[in-house]
Amino acid sequence: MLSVENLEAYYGTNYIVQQISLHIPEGKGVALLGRNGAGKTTTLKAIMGMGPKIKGAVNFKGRDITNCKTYQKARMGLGFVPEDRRIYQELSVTDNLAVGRYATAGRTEPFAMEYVLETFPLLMKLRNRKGGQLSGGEQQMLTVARTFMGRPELVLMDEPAEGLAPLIVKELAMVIRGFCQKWNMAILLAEQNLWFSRYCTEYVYLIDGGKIVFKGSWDDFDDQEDIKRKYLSV
Amino acid sequence: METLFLPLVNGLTWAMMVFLVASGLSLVFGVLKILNFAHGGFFMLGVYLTYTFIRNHALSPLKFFLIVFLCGIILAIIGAILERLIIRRFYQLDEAYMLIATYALLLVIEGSVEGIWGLQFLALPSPKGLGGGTEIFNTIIPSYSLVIIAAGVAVAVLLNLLINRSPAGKIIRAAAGDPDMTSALGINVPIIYTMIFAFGIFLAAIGGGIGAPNQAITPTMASSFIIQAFGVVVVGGLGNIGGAFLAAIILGLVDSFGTIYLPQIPGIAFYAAMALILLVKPHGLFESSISTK
Repeated sequence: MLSVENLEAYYGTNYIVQQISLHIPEGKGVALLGRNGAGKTTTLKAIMGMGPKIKGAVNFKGRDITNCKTYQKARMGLGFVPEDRRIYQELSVTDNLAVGRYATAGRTEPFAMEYVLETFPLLMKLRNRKGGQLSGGEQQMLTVARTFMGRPELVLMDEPAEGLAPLIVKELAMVIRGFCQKWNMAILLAEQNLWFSRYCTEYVYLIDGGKIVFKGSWDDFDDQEDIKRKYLSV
Repeated sequence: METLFLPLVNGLTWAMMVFLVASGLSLVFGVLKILNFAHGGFFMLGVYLTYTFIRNHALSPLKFFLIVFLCGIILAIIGAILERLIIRRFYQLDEAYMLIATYALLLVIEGSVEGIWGLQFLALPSPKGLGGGTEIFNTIIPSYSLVIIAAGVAVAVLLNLLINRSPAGKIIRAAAGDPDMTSALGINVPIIYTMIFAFGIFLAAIGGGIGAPNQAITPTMASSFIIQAFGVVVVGGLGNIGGAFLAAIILGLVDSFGTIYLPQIPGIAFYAAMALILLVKPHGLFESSISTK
């Protein structure tokens, strides 16, 4: 579904992502693990075309999208959930969700607002609340739900579990996994939370210093205690 | 009563005239975060273009406002082209470059107006039936003042509905508050910028056309109006159209009554009031209502 070949990303002269290749099969979950500063966020932003200068090739659904504009990628079915949530503070929960609908333009019909609200019961009660008045966990639910509104076929998620209470992390994992499986949605999940990643994905890539240092299934990953110790703080 | 009512109408007329210019300026700042010095130039082009179509014919109000609307559309198209060719090259740069670029555009417009229409004062007749006076509270006031006040209020109400109530307004606010995130949600933000810039020009141009019968038409009117419009936009809070509306009324009334009570220093009350408000509230009366970061 998405294949990234020899992707390099720069901020100015800072060479951050150094020739990485990723493959995400249709409807499957892939975790991108790594410490802070390993290059996870930059990888996602490079794929989405949001900021860094890039080299290499990004193919999505068999099309070279390396030079497409961000909004075109979104309309092709590439969703993005940013780590800093980026909720529209002055818009209500339902208006935030409504903005997410436009990613379906020319491709498919958006989900019904009510369906998405039922999927995220926490948001149902808050539907008329302004984005800026939500708690951190509620905002995280909203940013995921907003991207889901546009029916992405692959969603790039940047540390959705970061800074959330354990109970919310669990609820979020169940909602994301359930939604992805129901709608055959693939996911590329940049995370540091191993439990969350394992729950939502089938495959693992490990990134360190801008390079991929491991790839395989979760079973392969569990067999290699040393890389866990070397590249993650567990 | 008469001594109070006439300056009230005059002040409101001036206020709505300036608001028609300031509304587009504030909208463009709120969404694109740029101060467009050329805005007054498009106001002036609205005046001159309307003049060119009408000359000395007294048209029916319907025909007159249809021509004003048409001139607004023509200039909005030119505005859209200019945004694509010139303005968008400056979004990523320091704001000083944008000021210089749009100021240069203003000079080009002023030069073109002098070249095409000349330096002499021109005048446009009011539409039929709106040229005389109307008696209210035993005071004869110019009928056309009521037209300008009505137009200003109508623009304020319609803009408020567009920005705060319509689905398009939600997208505009999203694109203004966080263009990157909004792009990632599948919205073509650059097209929205072009449309907002063009719409701002449209507002300036119809403001010029509507106000044309009420003033002397000269190639220097752009500069004088843009200064007052900037004052209103800053006092109202950059990017807050409702704030600009209120600021226009406050400053318009202060100016109008100031001229009556301090006739030896006309025009000074506007700047004094503006300075006083900004001393107390340096960021203007309100925050931006368009951006929703």
